[in-house]
Amino acid sequence: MTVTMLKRTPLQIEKAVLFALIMRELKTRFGGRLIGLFWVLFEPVMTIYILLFIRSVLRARYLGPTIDYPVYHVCAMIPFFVFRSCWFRTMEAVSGNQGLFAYRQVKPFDAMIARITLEGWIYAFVYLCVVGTLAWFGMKFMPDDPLMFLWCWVVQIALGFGFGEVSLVLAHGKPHVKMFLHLLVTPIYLLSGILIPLSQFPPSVQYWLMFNPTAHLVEVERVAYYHEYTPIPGTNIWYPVMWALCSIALGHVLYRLNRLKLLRK
Amino acid sequence: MIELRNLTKYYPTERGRKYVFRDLNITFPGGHSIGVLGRNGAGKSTLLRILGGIEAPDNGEVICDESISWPVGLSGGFQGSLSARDNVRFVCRVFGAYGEEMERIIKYVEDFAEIGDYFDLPVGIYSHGMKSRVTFGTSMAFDFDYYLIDEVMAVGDPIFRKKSSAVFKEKLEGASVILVSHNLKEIAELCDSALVVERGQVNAFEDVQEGISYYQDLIKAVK
Repeated sequence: MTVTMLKRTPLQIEKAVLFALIMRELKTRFGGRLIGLFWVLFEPVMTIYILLFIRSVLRARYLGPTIDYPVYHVCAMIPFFVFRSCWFRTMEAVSGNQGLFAYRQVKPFDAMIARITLEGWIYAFVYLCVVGTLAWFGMKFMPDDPLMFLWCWVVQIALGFGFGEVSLVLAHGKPHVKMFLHLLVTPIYLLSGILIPLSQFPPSVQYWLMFNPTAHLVEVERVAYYHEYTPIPGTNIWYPVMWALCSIALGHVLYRLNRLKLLRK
Repeated sequence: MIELRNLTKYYPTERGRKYVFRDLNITFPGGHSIGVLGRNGAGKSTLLRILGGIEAPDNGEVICDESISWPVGLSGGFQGSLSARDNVRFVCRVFGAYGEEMERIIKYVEDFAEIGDYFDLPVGIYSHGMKSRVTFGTSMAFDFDYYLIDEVMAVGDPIFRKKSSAVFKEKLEGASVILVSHNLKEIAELCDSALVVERGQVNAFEDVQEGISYYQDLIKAVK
């Protein structure tokens, strides 16, 4: 029994490889069991519920007559988790797929794309679950500006991908650098205005905090959700977009220069 | 036909560049099976990896108009956390075999490997021998013009060797192999020509026996 190999176009090969890699990722993340699927999807959902409970039941703040505190929270938090998760999943894309690069069709780049695709879908599901539940309790489901909100997600994923690609190359074979980056993400999270609104900081500190691209995204996401929300002065969606584009460009250059080194153990 | 033109490959290390090959020029004539001989660290596996398209040469090029398999060896090709079945599925998808075709390939590999329940357990817990059964079986399920085999058959037990030899010989009627092995008998049996790799240079021998005796002399000289 044999299989005859057909000549395929590069696009067909790329599609086949991405599909194979996504299926592989699904398999390892879910462990091939239903309980695995449940775990992958509901672990972030549960985390978010617990965080929400603490923030909105125990420490709720009044934000005006129309803004629901939990939604205000979640609409910035989950996109940030997408960013974080895309970043680190991309960073580990080579080490997690080492054996599979033995097939000439499979390149590290494909592994990165497969990972962010999967991450995007997982978090889209998580988001719908969480916001759906909140809507059930009578809170806002649809953003005022859905397209803007979707655009923010795209930018978050792109930013995560760019950061991930750069750190993949720079931290390749250097576990301590990877550990440092894992530690770095917590201050970014805390200082992006998700848990602590940036308006609580004095303007002189705000000035510095707004160098963080995710802080801009948080503000824009909230404006997209609630038109009545007043963002920090200077908020600009193009600032994180530039970060994303620059980091992806830098990541591509680094990747291209080091693509041979990445395949070596 | 595979042609290597001015092929240079080196690895940057802390002690400077280590050259594996320098300005290598070889033509592998079509329809010839080639045994690759050389001591450990001579660059045999690197040669296979370059031919397999995993590593690119630092200079020069590989020209080829035929299909070449992935390097079938013990390292790489399989993901340790996945079962053999899932790994074979992955290979099928990469090569565009879906549905019934995929099922046929999986069945073939499962029957070939004869590792029972282990086929559905993570590859990471396999022994060398079990792994080689699966990796070798998977490559046999696909049709290539050239098979790159890196010492996989060497770790198998006699029964597996006999079986793999038989399947392999059948394959070789329509295809060729580039075989890395320390088993000279195997090379003599399966290959027409030989390459002896030593210190960045490669000596090609049209006749496999000539290559083997050259290699044996080389070993004796070291002793």
